[in-house]
Amino acid sequence: MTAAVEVDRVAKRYRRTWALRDCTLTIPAGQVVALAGPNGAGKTTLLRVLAGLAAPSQGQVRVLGGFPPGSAGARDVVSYVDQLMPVYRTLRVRDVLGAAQALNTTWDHDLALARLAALGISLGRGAGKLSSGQQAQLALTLALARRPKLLLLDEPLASLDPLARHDVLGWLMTCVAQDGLSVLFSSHVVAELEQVANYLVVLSAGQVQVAGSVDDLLDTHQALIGPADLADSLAAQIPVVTMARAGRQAHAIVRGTAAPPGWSGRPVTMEDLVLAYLKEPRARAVPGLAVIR
Amino acid sequence: MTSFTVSRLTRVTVPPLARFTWYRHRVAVLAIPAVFGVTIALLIADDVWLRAWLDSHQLAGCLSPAGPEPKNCSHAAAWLLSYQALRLRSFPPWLIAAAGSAVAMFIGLPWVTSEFESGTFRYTWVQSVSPRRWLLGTFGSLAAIATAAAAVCGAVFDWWSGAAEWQGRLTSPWSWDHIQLSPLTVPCWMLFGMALAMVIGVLVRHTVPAIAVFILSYGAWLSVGVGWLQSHLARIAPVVRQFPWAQGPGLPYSDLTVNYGFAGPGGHQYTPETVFRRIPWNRPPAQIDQWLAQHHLTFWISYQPASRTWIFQLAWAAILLTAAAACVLAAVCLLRRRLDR
Repeated sequence: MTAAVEVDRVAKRYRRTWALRDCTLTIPAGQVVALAGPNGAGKTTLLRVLAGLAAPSQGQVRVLGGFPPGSAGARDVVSYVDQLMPVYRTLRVRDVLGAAQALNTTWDHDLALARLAALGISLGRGAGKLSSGQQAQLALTLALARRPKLLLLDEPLASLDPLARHDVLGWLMTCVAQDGLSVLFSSHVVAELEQVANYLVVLSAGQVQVAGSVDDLLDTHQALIGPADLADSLAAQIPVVTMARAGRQAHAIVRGTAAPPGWSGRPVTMEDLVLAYLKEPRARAVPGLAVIR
Repeated sequence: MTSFTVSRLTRVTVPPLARFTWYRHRVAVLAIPAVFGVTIALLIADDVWLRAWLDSHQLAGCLSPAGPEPKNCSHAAAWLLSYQALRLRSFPPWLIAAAGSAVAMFIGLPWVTSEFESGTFRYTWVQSVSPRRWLLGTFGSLAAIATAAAAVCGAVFDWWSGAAEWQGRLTSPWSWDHIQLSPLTVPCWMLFGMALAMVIGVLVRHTVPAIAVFILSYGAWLSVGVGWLQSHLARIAPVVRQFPWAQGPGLPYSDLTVNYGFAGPGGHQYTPETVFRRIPWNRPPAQIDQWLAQHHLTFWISYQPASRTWIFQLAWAAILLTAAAACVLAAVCLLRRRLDR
């Protein structure tokens, strides 16, 4: 299967700060990828590198089977929506569409018109006079009307109300199902990632901490509850991602399917998993590596 | 059927980035001809008034470059010269220079900086069109409109000068406005101004500081260009004539004197001051010539004839086009550096 994204030992430095370090990642095409991580983890930088807006300081990046980001081939098939949702605020929506059409070799004007009509956004309105949620919807519409094969979204849902979030996610899923679109989107709201993502990437301090199919990750991790006095010996029996003590009880997220004696296990949710890895930046779950703490 | 054909033709022939410029910078696209249109209207109104005034005083023939001057031309010229010094001569050239500078500063610069300030470059640069094509295509579209409008303005100014400056009888064709505001050089100045504004916009990325940098750079270029370079260009390959002192050079007013001095025996050059200190001024002019001959001194003058003004206009056009090309190249390099960061 063609890789949607191949990132090989990529580093990106802004003056003295390393935003990405030794970042290696391969994402198969056709996936909806959730990109999670704390603030400053490098999510936006990674997306901007993939979009061709920033060149890596070291390493190699390829999208959709071999295009370097920013190349003519990549620009035709990759859409990117920045977290600032930049749209031409001084223009009317009609002119925003006209400008977008002029800038692109592939443009589905009917799709854009239908989407804006469904959202009740008038073509004669100034883009700057739209609410922040409507501007986000407009930015997403512009990105999808290009009929991309890879869609990069940086915090796309932050300015949307719950109903609009549900609507956008539904629309994204339709596009994925219809066109085989690959989507890579970052978000702090883990619950909304869980609804749509089938692949998870967690970044921490500029490095890939977790990467894998959501189903695989959920199948290979479990939450354990047991007596606090057994907590210290647990790590010798099973790879522990995170451990928390509360009185006489200990809670752990571990990698493995069988619960050790004295512990009771339950399946983890994606939120459990992400939070566990975010609490332990040194823990890793990437293909080819066991959990390392 | 016709409208369909026209519509199809329009879609096929208009380049994408020209269409983008129309959607994205419509106000600028309309403002450029408006600014120059007002300037042109003022020049035309002034010219029509002047020609009507000359007609009403039976002086229309004074405008003819060929043939003898009608009676009273010199009297009318003297009146006009004082009149123009107050209004006509000083006002329109500066108006054109100001219009060009304003278009470069308030249109040629903000189209770049606004993209950075609003963050929309993060949208524009990830479309099918590459950032470099976006930069060059948008610049090309806006600069083409500005340059065409400036060319029309230059042509109208040339026509206005014919009347207002009386075909070179009132002012020298070597004055700065004749060289810098010809139909050839005005569009080149406009193109240079737009290119300079673009490179400053890409470099500074914020409108107000960029405007300040533009004013400083453009001002420096004007003082260096118009002040220093123009006087040095005039020194290249002048015509040199030797003549008797008493007779005088007899150069027409429209020629530009570059230098003069005395040549001594063996081609040795003397400054006029050195010779003037020794000349017996109490003698009649003919005897001064004799005194100069006795001392083997010949008076010479170097000058540029009026017929060469177009060569200087051409040279200025070449300088401005080269500078504009350098600015465009620098803007492309700066944009690439910005992407690499």
